[in-house]
Amino acid sequence: MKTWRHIAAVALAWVLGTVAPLDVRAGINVDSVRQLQLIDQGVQPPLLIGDARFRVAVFAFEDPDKLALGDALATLAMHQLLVGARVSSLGVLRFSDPMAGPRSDELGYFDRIDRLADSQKVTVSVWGAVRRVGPEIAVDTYLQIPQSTVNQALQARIALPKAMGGQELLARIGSDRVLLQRQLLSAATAESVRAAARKLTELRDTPNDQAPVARHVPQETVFYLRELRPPWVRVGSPQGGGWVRSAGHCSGACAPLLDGARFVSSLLAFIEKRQRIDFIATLSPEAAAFADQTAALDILHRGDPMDEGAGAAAILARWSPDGGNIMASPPPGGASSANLRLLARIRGQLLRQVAQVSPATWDRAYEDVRLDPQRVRAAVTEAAAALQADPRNAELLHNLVVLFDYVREPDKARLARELLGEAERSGRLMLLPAR
Amino acid sequence: MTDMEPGCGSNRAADAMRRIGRTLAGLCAAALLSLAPAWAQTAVKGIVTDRTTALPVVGAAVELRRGAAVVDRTVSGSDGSFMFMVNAGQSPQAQNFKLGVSHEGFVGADQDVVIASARPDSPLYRAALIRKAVADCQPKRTRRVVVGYFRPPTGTPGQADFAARVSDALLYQLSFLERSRVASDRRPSVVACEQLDDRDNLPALARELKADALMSGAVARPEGRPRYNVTMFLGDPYGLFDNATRVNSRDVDLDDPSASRLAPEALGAVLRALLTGYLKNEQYADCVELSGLALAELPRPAPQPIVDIRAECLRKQPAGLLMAGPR
Repeated sequence: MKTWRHIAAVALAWVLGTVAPLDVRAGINVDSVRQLQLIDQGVQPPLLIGDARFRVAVFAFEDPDKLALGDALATLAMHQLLVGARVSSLGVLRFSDPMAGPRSDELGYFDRIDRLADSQKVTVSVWGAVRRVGPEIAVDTYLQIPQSTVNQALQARIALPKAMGGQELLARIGSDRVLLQRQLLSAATAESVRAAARKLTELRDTPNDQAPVARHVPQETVFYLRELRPPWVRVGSPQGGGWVRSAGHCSGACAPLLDGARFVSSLLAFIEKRQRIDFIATLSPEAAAFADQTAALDILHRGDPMDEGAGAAAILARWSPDGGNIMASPPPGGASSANLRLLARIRGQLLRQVAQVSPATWDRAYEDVRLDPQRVRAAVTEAAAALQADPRNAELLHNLVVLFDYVREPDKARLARELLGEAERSGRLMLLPAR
Repeated sequence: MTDMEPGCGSNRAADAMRRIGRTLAGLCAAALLSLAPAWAQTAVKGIVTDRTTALPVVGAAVELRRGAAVVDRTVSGSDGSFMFMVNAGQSPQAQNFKLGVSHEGFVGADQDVVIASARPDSPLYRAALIRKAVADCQPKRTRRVVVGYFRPPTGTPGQADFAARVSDALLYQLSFLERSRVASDRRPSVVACEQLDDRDNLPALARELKADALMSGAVARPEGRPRYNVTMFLGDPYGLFDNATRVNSRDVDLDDPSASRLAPEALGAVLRALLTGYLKNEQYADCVELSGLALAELPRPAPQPIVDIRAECLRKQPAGLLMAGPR
């Protein structure tokens, strides 16, 4: 009888529009140590929620001060990713502390999350660190982007006209590790974070804070978000389901901690549907630069000949290098903004020249275009300034090789080629592969 | 022996003369006896020093071997010197010996001695001994910090090995460098070498270990407090910390290295030495990247020495030539 009443209530809510149909959203709590043991034994662990179109790994934050916040912050991030998902199919893998268990090797936190993320072939990873800083607690949230995701959606390529050599210019959005947020918490807020995370593991029979806890979110079993009835969501799993809050569980000073996950949801929507990434004020300048780069990338992909690349270049102008800032610290996102801006400016110059001929002959005309070397040199020199603070930016070095060759500065082209070789030998990130 | 020594003259019988004759005969015999070894023996001289400090090593055991046989043994004197007299004949044919030097706390050293025509191939054999503590300390990466002996708090039972604890703490504090694009084998390593206990010679030891910084010091646990106070003395091969700079870190939880925090001054000093290593070794790109991260990590105001190193690396890196006018 109770069940029928519930169904009737849901049906009514549906009709009234307060119940949202959910795309596929699934989560799983994963034992990091067990996964690492499998990998150490040379066993490829099965892909968890392998059918999901997008899969995000969320790692327990590194918590050296034993503040009991590492798992709590990961739980909040996982929950926010699931309830705030803006893509059609999402799986979130929530890894326990990778540093727990016996330490059989010298792998650090970074190395372990790299291994786990690689083995699960996730779209992106979210991880972080929480540390005591005087009376406060600092929470750093990071986004890690594997090469496969960059190849899929976070790069720009421009083929130069045959008359200019026909080579490709390349740009990568951001770096592989992006600091999303640096947030300071008071001890009281830390306690509210722990309490909020605890509540997110409790499933209730009815969407009500006073309803008894029927069961907990399962460990190492996939669970699904079945029904969203804000501020509640119903979770189902083979062990049974229940209701948990979708909103209102982390308010006040806790709320900004969800913004990192919101950014990631936004990024996934950008990858799937080219939806613009909304920048959130609590996030880092690096995240802001990243968001601007995706906006510029979108403009470049749309290829509006009327825009002539000006829109993209304008968006990125605020990240242009400033001599004084470079001395103090690198610009947010390194030289990637300047590199993408270089592509936008070159593309703009190309489109301006092609636009002078009839649209019917654009393709053929494009291959004959030769840009004014003086104008190319100005753009290249500005980009080279950004390289100073990010000297291993392989894509920018590649572009400098191509463009210095074009403007007939063979010494600089040779030097850029040498620096690119050195960057690939001594750096962690390789040049984007050729198409 | 006859009264008359052949070849030493004769006289007719005066006692005085006989006495003189006897004396002369004695001198002749003595002269002959002393001359015989002079043309058969060769002096092999040497000096034993500590490779770290170049100071003499007193009481080192030195032996000269020929094949498996020990020809002679001696010990080095107060100035580290030693000498053997070797009966090697006057043959121009080379004769091979081995000089072995050993002393407690040092790694033993052998070297060849070749004697021909009663002359050694070196007028002075120099044995610069390597301290065992140095030889046992083998950091893997090029840029490195070595943590030597830290005297434990009074009454600490058993083997405390605070070098390992301080090293772990430092490693944790430097983990932000992993965010850079610098390949792992070019990032700095931190190595604990508990046996390195010579606070007076930190710069020399750092040079010998090719370490960018070497630290040693003492750990104290104030009465009734759960955490430690760490006093460290820093030495480096670049002359940054000439008289072993002293840095104090208070309230450090060395029982859980991942939770321990050395004072920002200590972290800043170590970073300064490491970045100087990158700069001096012309690893400018590494220096630029890592100094950027260091400045973001260290509390404000940014330490001027690190700002200066970064500025120099930016100025010197070859990428700067890409911004100049047409070449």
